[in-house]
Amino acid sequence: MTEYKSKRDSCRQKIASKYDILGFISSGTYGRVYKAKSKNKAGRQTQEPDSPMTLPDDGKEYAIKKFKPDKEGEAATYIGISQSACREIALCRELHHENIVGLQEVLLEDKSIHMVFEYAEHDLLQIIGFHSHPERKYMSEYTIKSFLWQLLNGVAYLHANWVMHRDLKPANILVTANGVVKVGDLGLARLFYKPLQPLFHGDKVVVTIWYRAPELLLGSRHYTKAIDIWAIGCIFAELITLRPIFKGEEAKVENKKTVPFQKNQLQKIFDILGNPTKERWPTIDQQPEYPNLASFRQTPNVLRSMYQTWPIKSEQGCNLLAAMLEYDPLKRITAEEALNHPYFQEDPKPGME
Amino acid sequence: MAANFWVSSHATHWILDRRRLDEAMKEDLEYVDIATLTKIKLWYYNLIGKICKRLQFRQQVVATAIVYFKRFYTKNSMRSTDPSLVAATCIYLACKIEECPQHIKHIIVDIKVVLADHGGFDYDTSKVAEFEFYLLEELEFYLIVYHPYRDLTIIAKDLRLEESNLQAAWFVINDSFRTDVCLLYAPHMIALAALYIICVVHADRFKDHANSNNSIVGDGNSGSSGSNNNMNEDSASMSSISHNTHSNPHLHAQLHSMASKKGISSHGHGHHHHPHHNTPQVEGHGINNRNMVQWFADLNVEMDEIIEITQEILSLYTIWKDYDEKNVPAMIHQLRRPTRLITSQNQNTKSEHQELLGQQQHHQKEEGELEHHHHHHHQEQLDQRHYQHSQSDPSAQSLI
Repeated sequence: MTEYKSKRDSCRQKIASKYDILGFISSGTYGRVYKAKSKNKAGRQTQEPDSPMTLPDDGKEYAIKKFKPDKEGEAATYIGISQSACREIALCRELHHENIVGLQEVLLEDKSIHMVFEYAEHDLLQIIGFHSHPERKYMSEYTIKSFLWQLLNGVAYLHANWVMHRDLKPANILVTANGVVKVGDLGLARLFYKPLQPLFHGDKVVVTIWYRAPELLLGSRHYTKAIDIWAIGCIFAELITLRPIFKGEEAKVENKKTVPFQKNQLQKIFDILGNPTKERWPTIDQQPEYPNLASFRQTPNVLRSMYQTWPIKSEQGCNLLAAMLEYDPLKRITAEEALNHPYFQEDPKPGME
Repeated sequence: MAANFWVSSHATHWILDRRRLDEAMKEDLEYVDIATLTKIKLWYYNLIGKICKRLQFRQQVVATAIVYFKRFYTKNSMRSTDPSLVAATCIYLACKIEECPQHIKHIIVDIKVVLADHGGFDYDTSKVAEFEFYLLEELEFYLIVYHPYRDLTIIAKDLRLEESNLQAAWFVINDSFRTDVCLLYAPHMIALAALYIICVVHADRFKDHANSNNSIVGDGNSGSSGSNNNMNEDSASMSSISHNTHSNPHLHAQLHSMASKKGISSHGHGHHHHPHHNTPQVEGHGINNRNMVQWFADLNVEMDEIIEITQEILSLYTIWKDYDEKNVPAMIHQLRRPTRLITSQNQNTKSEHQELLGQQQHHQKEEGELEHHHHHHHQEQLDQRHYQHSQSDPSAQSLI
């Protein structure tokens, strides 16, 4: 295979020959993200986004996500690309939508995968932070509604394509300088059309705790795309109040085999939505952690009275929020339905910029 | 993508034409004739199946791994690479993409076991992991593959197909991965062809076999039951089918009449419709041969394409009949040694094989009606469909 490999290695383009690295953006368990600018070769303006492996010689800005090589053990033997990188490459290569972060190309260098994404200046976490400090300055209803609509639009596209995101949270919702929302980080996303194994089997814990749906907190094995809608409901509330709506404390994972019961997080949810009942959620007694619910104190649903104190007054806005924070995943509104909700018909109507 | 085949990378980048496949075989064919090359490939497809079976992977993983393997070899010669390393890497990547990941160590252990009597496997984890980069690059990072199984299940439900027929068609699809149809045609067309083979072409003959015997023949191990490869347990019972495939007057007449009924020929551009919009219903519960013929005739798809796929699959059974895996090591040796075939011999064997593979096509050509240049045709059809089906229509799932 030596001949084959050297032939391939010799025609592989160096990242530095295509992009100027402008700076470091962030890092995580997966690796690091850099800001880069494509080298302007011919001064061409447009590039067919779909055409693979072509030079993006448009002088545009990109975010290059460099995956750390997946190693294990003391000897640090390389064991191939991670499941998360596999998913993100496989899905991003297929998905093309205005509100999903676009993948320009994938490059290999230094035994690492580099995913070149379109660049977005901001993310919702940063925007929320900006409005909270130094003093709290609420976002306009128009801005919130525009963000929410685009977020739902992107997620509706994912769901129509049998893709569950499974990690929606403000930090993963990118926003361009023009105010276009781009759902990012599909490292936990996966197809849910007839999975070969139950979804629970592969990833024991999905979704960051504050945005995790009640069926996940109750140990559901066969969760659905409705978990993404719950997370969007949480994000909607957070855009209005600039605070996470259910800011629980995560019970730490003690060993890899068992998933701890997230009592504190559930309590935060019950404090606002009231305790879930068989009337509200008929199959709740089938959830594995159902017996644990007996230990919670009884609290009423105060979502509506709380909403009255928030800066947005629209009744329809409250209806939509309540529909996204529905306990029963079967009754929870879908992304497609949410896009057609009366809230988006009334003024101020959402815009893309 | 997942809900709409026509906008997937599989449809837009990985449905190839036959010329491209011919081009890819050029180098190898300087060293072995095409019949030999076909058998070597068959051996590697079976190898992928065997390894996946040991690892208890589902058929979908086998299918994806084989498609990766085939896609790799549309750009490389077998001669200049080591197909067992390629196969191992395809399996490793496929199980991750199909969401049933296995530790790379386990995979390598099983590969070593399977290859113990076949030259062994000299690569460790880091070698396979390193090769994954090359594979990803050759695949252009397009990793999601559509398979005909999903379409078959949907069609079968629609038709209220008998379980035994569904299973038999499923096995034919398994076999189809040992041909190039998955590189040439859309998965729903392959599903329809499998159904066509079971329910129309070989309806009567197949019945007895499917019901009584689902461990199958034609695995190239005739007479060597001890070292049997069990791979073909999931293969269609085709020993009965394979004879007669190129001179079946009944089939021939059916194909002809169906094709002419639909007016299929090079001028038939009028009806490239999605069968979704117009799926004929079959009355009653039982599906018999006659109303299946009618069902196909009423189906708004390119019948000639289904017939091409059918022939491609049936010709596999012809090759399979005189395939003996004991002869493969010598074939691989011949492929690897530095001596080229002399040109005249090369041409001879080529034309011999063309005869073998092309017999069905010859029949068609004689009919005149079916004469067409499917390479160009096919691409046009794809393009048209691409525009016809709205990207956002999730109900336009890969067909029917």
